[in-house]
Amino acid sequence: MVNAQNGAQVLKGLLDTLVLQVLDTKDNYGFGILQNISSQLDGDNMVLREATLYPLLHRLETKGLVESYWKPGQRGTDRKYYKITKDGKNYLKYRISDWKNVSNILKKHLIT
Amino acid sequence: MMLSNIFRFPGLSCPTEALTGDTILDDYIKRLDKQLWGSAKIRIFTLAEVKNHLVEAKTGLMQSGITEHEASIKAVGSMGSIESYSNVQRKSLKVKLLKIGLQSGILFGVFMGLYQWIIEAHNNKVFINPLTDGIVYGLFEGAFFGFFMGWFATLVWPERNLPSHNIPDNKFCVEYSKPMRFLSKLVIVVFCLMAVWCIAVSISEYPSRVPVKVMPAEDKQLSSYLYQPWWLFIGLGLLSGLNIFLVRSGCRSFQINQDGFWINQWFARKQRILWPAIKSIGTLGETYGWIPSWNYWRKVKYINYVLSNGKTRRIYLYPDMLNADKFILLLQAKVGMKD
Repeated sequence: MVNAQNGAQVLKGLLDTLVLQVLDTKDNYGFGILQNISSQLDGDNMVLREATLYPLLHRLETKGLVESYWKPGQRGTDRKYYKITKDGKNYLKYRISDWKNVSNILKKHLIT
Repeated sequence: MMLSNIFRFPGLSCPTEALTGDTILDDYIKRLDKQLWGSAKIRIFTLAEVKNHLVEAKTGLMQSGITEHEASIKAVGSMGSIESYSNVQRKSLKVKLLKIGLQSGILFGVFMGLYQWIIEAHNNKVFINPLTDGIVYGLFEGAFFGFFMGWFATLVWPERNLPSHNIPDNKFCVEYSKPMRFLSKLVIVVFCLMAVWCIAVSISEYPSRVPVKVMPAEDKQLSSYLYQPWWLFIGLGLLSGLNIFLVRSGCRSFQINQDGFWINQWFARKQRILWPAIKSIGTLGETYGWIPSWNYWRKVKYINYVLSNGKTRRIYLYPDMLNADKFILLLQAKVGMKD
């Protein structure tokens, strides 16, 4: 339980990177992003909740890392799709490289 | 409640298109709606996204085998607090209100202040002195105008609309007719020329200006302080309104079907263009356009097409247009590409 909670805290710091990585693959809408991340985390839906996701998407949009557009949904409800921008892709590359460096340092000094 | 309703006018009640028909989901949506700011047209954007998520979540849960009632409760439970959505929406509206209010207020205030300075320098109706009166008047007018424009452009009228449900493949693009483009640019040019004129006259008059006779204390009234040529004030107000109208008027939705494609203009007639009427699709390009965002120029793609009568038309495809590239490919496939 303690290990799971600590892991969730670490992952929360990565949320923007996770979301951008999902959008880098293809455009998606809020519920779709949530499902995608949840399946990547083996069904763990405690890390990213709806109440966290939408403010996060809004923050990314304000920073210009994602853009949004509307499309009629399949069930008659409108869907707001998000799309990663060029700035978003650059930011994603930078974040991934950052985490790789951290991961290498951890492997070198802690897991020996 | 009454104070918050000021920021929710017009359309105080929850927009019906945001409701799902499920009592539990609709209760959540209505409670969220009460916390949001803006007119119904503004609030619908947040509500539509939340509605879609609730419906998708409920459907997913029902597919896993649980009852509809339970699925609704779980779907609502998964959304979390209403404040997490309303706080984000209110914050973004506040920022936009400030931005638009300041921009328009400064522009208008500077202009009106300069104008007041010149008017007072040429007549005897002075409150303190022409320069101080001009500054104070400009601040007053700028604040009033900025507040009104910020309120209208942020809380009342949205930049774009949600897609219509019964039009498949509905997309948004902007196309300005030549008269509208000309008028919109004319308004800006007139504003700039008048500002330049005000500055030039005040500079040229300043060295040789005879000190203005200040009115006796008993004659200083508020009406004299607020004296202005009403015809010009009304004219400027109308020009500003016209400018906003023109900026907004470019929004269109269009539909592609077997017969052709047709364009919905915001205030004008629907325009239908049948495939046989299009002779060729011309080149693509990019340019900066004044689009339905208040006071913003943005880089946009456009595509030219030539009608059978030889007239060339242009459609601007804005960055938030749905599947712009798909639309271009579809047009090209239907008509054929000719440079």
